[in-house]
Amino acid sequence: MNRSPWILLITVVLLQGGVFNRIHWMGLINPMVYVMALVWLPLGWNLALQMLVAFGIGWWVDSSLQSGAIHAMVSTLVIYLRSYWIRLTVSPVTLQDHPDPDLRDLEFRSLLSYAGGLIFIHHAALYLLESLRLAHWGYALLKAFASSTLVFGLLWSILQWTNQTKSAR
Amino acid sequence: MGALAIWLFRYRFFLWLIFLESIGAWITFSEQAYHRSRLNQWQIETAGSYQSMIHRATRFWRMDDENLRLNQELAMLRQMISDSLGVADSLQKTNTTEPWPDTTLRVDLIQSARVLYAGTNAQHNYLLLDKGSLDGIQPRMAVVQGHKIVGQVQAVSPRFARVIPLINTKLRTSALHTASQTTGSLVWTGGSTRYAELMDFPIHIPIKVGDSLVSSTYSSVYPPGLRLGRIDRIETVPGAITYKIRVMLSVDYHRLDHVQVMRPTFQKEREELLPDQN
Repeated sequence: MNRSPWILLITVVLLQGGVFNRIHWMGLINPMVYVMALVWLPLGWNLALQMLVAFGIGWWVDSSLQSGAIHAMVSTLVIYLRSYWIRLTVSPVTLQDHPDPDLRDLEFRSLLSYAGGLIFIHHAALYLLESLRLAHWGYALLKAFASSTLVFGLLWSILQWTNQTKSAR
Repeated sequence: MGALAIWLFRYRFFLWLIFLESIGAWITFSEQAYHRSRLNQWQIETAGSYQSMIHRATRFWRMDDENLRLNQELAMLRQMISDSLGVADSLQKTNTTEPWPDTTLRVDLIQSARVLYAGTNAQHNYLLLDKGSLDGIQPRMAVVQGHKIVGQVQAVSPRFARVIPLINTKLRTSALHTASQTTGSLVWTGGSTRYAELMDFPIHIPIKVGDSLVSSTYSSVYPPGLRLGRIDRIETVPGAITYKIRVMLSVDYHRLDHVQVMRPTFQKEREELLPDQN
């Protein structure tokens, strides 16, 4: 493990509670930026621990939104799926060299399908669970697409910025 | 045992996921009124679909009973038409004092529904109807069979409705003793589904076996004058100020097939003033 997720984790969770929970653009965009911390969690950790941390993060967000434990459920699901999802989206060669790849080292295409996919799954599951109506799946998916696009854009910007900082050193 | 341990170890992460998700679901459904209500609706929908399927499968075998019941109902309706055509005459001839059917019976919605499920074995029995909010059914509407009270709607989903029948220990219905125009409370205390008890009926009022009980004007759910049952047994307890009365219910819950759901006119306006009125 060559990176510490804690700074990003604490920052995005605090930002989620303080800023992003209040954003509801056009009734479609309600970004859940804390999912970046979930994507960023080291894969080398024990999966049970990862799921517990994800549950805790989600529950923290739930307590600020008073939404039961919806975020906790979705975050746990995303972390569980992540270990399978990475094998589908990142090339086996990369995984052989780096079983726990740094997001900054991934090609854009792999990053989009891996991180973007997980962010979308998270938002889609969240909005479906929130409305709990299959009839609203179209709207939930549209909302998930809009919000996850924004979150992925933000993640990509952070990765670009940290890459530049690393190069400057 | 070894195989079980291997299986548990192999699926430990999945089991851990199920455990955490269960905790999450429990927290969500206990804290969030919206999710609880959705879960409730989903339960009604599922039970309704299941019972509907069972009903369709068994309907063919119950045609004989159904034909007999329809014939009896037809006969009763013919009799009612006949009676109403000569109502003035018959009132003079029989000099009846029973206020049934009540002339104040005014309802603004009547919907026929089929009973998909009728629970009779529990303390908190319920019925399931094949009509729901899409057909205009709402909670606290009266469910009747002809002029006999079956119960009241408790909850609805778009296509189904759950009804609390008189044979539910939670339900307490205001009953009018037609001969004395005195009210008491009809309560089912469990046991046989044919009998309930009339409570709070003062001992100084003369009553006799066979007297009829109908819904009273005190109820905002049921139109007045609908049949509840007949007095079947009367007991006096030494020192008590009320009778112990057993009532034979008008409805046979083992033979329910079709019912009508109705809402008394101005029910909402009335309940706004008397929110706790049953």
